[in-house]
Amino acid sequence: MSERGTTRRAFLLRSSAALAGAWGARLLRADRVGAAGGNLTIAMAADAEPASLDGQVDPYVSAWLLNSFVTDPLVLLTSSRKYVPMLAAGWSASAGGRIWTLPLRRGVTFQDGTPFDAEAVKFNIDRVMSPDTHSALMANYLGVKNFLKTEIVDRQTVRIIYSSPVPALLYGLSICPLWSPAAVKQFGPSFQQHLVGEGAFKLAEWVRGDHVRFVRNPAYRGARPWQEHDGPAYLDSITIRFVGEAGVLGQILKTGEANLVAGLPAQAVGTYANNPAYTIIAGYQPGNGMMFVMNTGRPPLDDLRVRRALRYAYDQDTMNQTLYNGSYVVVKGPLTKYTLYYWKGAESAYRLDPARARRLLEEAGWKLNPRTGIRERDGKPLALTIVMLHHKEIGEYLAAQFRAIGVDLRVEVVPGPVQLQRAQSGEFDLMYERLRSYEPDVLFDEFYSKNYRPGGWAWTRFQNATLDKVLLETQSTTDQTRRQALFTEAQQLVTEHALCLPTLDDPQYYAMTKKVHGFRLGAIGSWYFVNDISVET
Amino acid sequence: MATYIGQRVAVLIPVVILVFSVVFAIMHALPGDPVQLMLAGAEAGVTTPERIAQLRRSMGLDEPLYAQYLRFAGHALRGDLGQSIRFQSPVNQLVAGAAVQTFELSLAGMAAALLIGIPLGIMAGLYENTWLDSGAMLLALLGVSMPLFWLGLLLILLVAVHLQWLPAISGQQLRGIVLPAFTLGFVSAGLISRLMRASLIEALRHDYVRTALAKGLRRRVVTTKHALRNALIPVITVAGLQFGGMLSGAVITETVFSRPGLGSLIVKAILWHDYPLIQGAVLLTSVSYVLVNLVIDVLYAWVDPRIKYA
Repeated sequence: MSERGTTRRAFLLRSSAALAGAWGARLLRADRVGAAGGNLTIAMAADAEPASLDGQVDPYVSAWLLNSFVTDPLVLLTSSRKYVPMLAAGWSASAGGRIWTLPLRRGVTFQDGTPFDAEAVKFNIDRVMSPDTHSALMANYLGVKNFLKTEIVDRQTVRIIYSSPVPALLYGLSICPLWSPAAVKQFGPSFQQHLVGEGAFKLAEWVRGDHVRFVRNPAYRGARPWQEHDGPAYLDSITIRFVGEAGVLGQILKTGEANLVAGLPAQAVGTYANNPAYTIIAGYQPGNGMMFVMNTGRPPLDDLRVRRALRYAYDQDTMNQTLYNGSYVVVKGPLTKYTLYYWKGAESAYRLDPARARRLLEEAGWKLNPRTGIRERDGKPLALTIVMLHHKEIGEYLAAQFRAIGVDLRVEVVPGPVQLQRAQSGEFDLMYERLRSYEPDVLFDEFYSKNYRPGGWAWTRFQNATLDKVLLETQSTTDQTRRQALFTEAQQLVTEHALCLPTLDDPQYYAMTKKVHGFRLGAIGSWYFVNDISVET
Repeated sequence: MATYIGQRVAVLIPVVILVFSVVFAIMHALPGDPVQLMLAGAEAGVTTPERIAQLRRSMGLDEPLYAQYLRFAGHALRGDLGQSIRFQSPVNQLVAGAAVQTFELSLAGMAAALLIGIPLGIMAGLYENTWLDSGAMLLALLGVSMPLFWLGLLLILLVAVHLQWLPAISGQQLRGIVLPAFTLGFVSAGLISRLMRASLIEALRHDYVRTALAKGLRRRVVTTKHALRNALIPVITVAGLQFGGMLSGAVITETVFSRPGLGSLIVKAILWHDYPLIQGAVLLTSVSYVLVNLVIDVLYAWVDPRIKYA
């Protein structure tokens, strides 16, 4: 049978298969609906508890994730990493990405019965942009620095107008929660305790430091394109329990106090991995991974030869095997492979080559002192400080590797506020820096030289006109092919100038009992969808 | 007594002002800007200096330090501790919620410490240099030397994971407080029992005990009515200090058993430079500490009639 031609038999076979598939899917739906219900208790680390449950204010993905139970976004980033319309019926960008027009889905109401319309969207976007909301990050994602106004085109169409293009706006719209304006006004400062969206679950209670509980919204009529079913979720309720100690989090499934652990500590994976009563799923993160940026603003890392020598002195695969039994993700460039427009060339740019590393250091004038085993120049030892927040073992591993080429690496573990202060004052040689975003714009944040200032992330203090030009163009280019070319070039330049030490990335592990069905990861490892989940009772 | 209590309450005012001022000065001297920390989400996005200035202004952080100090003090006098920078919630609400949890845990922990420590100490004191004494003191030694988090984790593994008798996460149920209270109390019980033992042995060697026995009083009566009451005075002092310590230092137990308490709230507030929250929480803990000490002093008079407060 040719590709083009279709025999009657083949048609019948295909039709039967399609019918069987559709029938099977319906049966599956019916079966799952029949098994609908159950209460899901998710345990997660207390550190991940949002400070504010209002994701328009709180800067962490955990807040946006919990918000996604209560409200749908305008645009959805699917598991297969595609943006699709959700509460927006579509979108269009004009004037080179300065004007975004979003027609909205009709017939949608918030959980308090008020309508979801252009006025509601305008209220939400204006709220995020207002300094009185103290939006820590969402305002950035929605392009606050270029924001001019939100316009109501008609009852079901809204327009966002910027002074210059905001190419990554879709990502912002995919995580920005949309609240009922009436509820926001009604509850005022305590709104975060009374979230009202239009989503599949309603917020029942939040006992800070202990748990958050959501109950099914039976009136939910949402349809997510890839989901198993439309309308109300299967689960009766979802309870999030916050666990303070990693050791306890690792054991909590065994006590029966939770049926799913989000963010299972890596050392506990083995506890469940070979046990048929549990399922383990790994979610991989976009962004930098555990990257250490190099301070090019002071010696010795102002010398490209020294920076490159460090890149040749260690191997991420061996590090992964030695420290984590190979369970982490190897990162060889400034972005992990789960980030949009990842450049594969980074994987072969630097391979372990201690001899070459030594040669480069010799060329840079650093001579080995055989008595100490550390290189020196003008009587000064080649000593570097690596500042990190956690995963001290990575620092220690690097220290051991660097010692072999005559570099003395001192590991300092500091709390977050000290890290920020040290980064801004430039008191470091290597500094832990890890931004997580599906969009590669983190490269602009971290390597555009003018972002070396309070509120910026360009801690390397590296100045290069070509890199700056490329990165700046990414911020005004909406054409995706061009953006890909620009971000690829940026990754090449960052790698070529050896501005960072990429290491590994820790996956987000989920462990659940076999009674949990329908768990689905999102596009980023720390995101998952709950509408299809059911729990056998 | 009423005058004494009034005086002690009046002493609270300078103590609280002093503590508050020192904390205010230290927090503002530390490096780090709360607005930048608030903006330092783990998900990227560059913030312009204008936006930082805008946020600082809207939080009143652009004012001179003395103005911030006076504003906070003025609001605190009216019972308003302000709005937390990090949690975007009223400090009163946050501190009160956490304080209730900590107070519950400390009270239960203290009860466990006294229920274990005092009988153990009495037994050791009465049966000095016997195997009962050695056994009790071995337990006490374990109590004082065992790290809290280790004991907590061990109990969780045994009682919650293997036996499944009690929950590992403390939660809101009454049974959830048993393990954390025991953990917190066991450490203090070690100290209390050692002190109780030493104090009782000393009291039993006093002349008034010998006299009472010579008068023909039964040993049990002499021990409980005379020696024990005197021996309790140092124990009460230590128990009071321990209780004060529990109120502000139960953070490890709170973390291990996932309890939202004042200790963990203060740690978060310090890390995020959340000035209003730190000031509010410290205000509350310093007042509690002074009040607990006052209660201890009043208890002295009840235990030892010779002590009189003018």
